[in-house]
Amino acid sequence: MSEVPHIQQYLQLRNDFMGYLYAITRDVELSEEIYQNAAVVVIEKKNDPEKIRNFRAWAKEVVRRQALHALNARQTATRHARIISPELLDAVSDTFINDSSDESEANHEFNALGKCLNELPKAKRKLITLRYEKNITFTEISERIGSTPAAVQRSLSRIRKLLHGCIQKRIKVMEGTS
Amino acid sequence: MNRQIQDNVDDLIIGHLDGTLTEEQELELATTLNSSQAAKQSLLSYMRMEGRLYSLGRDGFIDHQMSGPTSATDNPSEAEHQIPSAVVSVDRRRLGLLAATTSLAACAATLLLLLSNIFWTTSVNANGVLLKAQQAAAELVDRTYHVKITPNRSSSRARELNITVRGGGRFFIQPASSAYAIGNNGKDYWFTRARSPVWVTSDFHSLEPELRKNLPERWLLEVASSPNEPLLLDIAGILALIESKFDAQLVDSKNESTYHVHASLKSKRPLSPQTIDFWSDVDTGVVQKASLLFSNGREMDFELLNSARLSESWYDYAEHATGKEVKRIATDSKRGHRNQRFEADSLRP
Repeated sequence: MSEVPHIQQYLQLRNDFMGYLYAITRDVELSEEIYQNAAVVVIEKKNDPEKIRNFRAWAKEVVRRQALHALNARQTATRHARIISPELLDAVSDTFINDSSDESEANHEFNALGKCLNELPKAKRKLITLRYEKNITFTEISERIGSTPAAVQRSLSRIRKLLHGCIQKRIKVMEGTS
Repeated sequence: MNRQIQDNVDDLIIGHLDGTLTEEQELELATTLNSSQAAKQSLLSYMRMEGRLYSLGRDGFIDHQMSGPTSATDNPSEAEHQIPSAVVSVDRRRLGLLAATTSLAACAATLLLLLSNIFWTTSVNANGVLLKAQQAAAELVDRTYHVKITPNRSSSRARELNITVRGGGRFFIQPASSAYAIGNNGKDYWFTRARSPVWVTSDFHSLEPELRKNLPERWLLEVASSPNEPLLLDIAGILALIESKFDAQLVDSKNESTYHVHASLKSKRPLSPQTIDFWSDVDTGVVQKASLLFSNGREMDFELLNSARLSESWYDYAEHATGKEVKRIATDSKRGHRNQRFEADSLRP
């Protein structure tokens, strides 16, 4: 792993980092921006003679610092007056930084997600597509499907719980057969 | 953690991801995370799922992922190959999406972006917008733009005309006065005026001497055919020029329906515009508006009027010059302009 270029290792961890970034920013565009800013740090590290012993841990810290910097900057903007509480921010960041799960676990989840998505009924799939592929708000989704934002949020909440439960079940099955 | 508590934690995590928790609920979630390893694992797996859903969505693979048989594999060692195989089968997903899919391709794309000095400002970057706009411009769809040309900043004598363009080099230009018409049917350039024949040539530069006599706005065709300024007639040309010779930046815009890209010329070229701004539709990539500013103050503004499917013959002179005499300029690039010979035929029945 250590011989793989840093940027490539970093990109392979994209899902983990984006999940954390979205969890603390709840803003997919800002998450992308932070992720990309951290990518620049990773690339610049190439010129630094100091050796990185644990790239994943180091990159997590880079992402966390970039995220906190971005959140501080955003806090000053009036349109983002309400941000995550400091206690929860610390708890989420600590969980992310101290995550000791290995990459195979993440790969298992990734594969399971693909199958679980395929099993979703059409209406639920449509909602997931609108939310994550079209990247539109609950309000916009509700306007498209003739519902209310709260109902859309509840539906998407149930769908994600369904997907998460499906992933966990599939992983258990895989662990049982391996 | 029993089922009910787990459900409650799941609800709190999802509520947090959606930004719907109250301050009390946020504190409850923080407390739970600090005291429960299972809650931490749950948060981590939800975060990973959320990250993957956004990544799949960004690359346009959720819909595909769900529409066909699964390509996922139970073998984690094959995980790296899962998405590329999906990509190959989705032919409508083009280059930009392909590049962002595999870790290796994404790595290459990242480095390419960095090397191109096209810096990311948001999840959408200027390069991505440009690529999408190029794809839209390359489609064989007819688009009519209103074009306003202002000779320089101090001049009020702006000219306005409509241009209909289609991929493959086809275009049709006519001013509001209908005083003339210029076109390219994909093979030949042609032009005509109210009481003149139709001049047709496969090589515009061979037409230039005749234009000098017959067409006051001959610069239009010069612009159309010049390798230095392939700007006026073809949005795809503008986009290609931006890609090769300009530094592009995505401009933060309050308009959520369009992306605004501002491009500045990398090195000074007298015939090229110094800046190009374009606004493309967020969903389709179609350029809605473009604005070009030249060093001498000349400005060109494009605005999309219509996207309607037109017949193939729309771009041919027969459609716009019925009954007129046709004068074809036979060209031989080796002989040059002075050795042109004219062959007259006619559209008259």
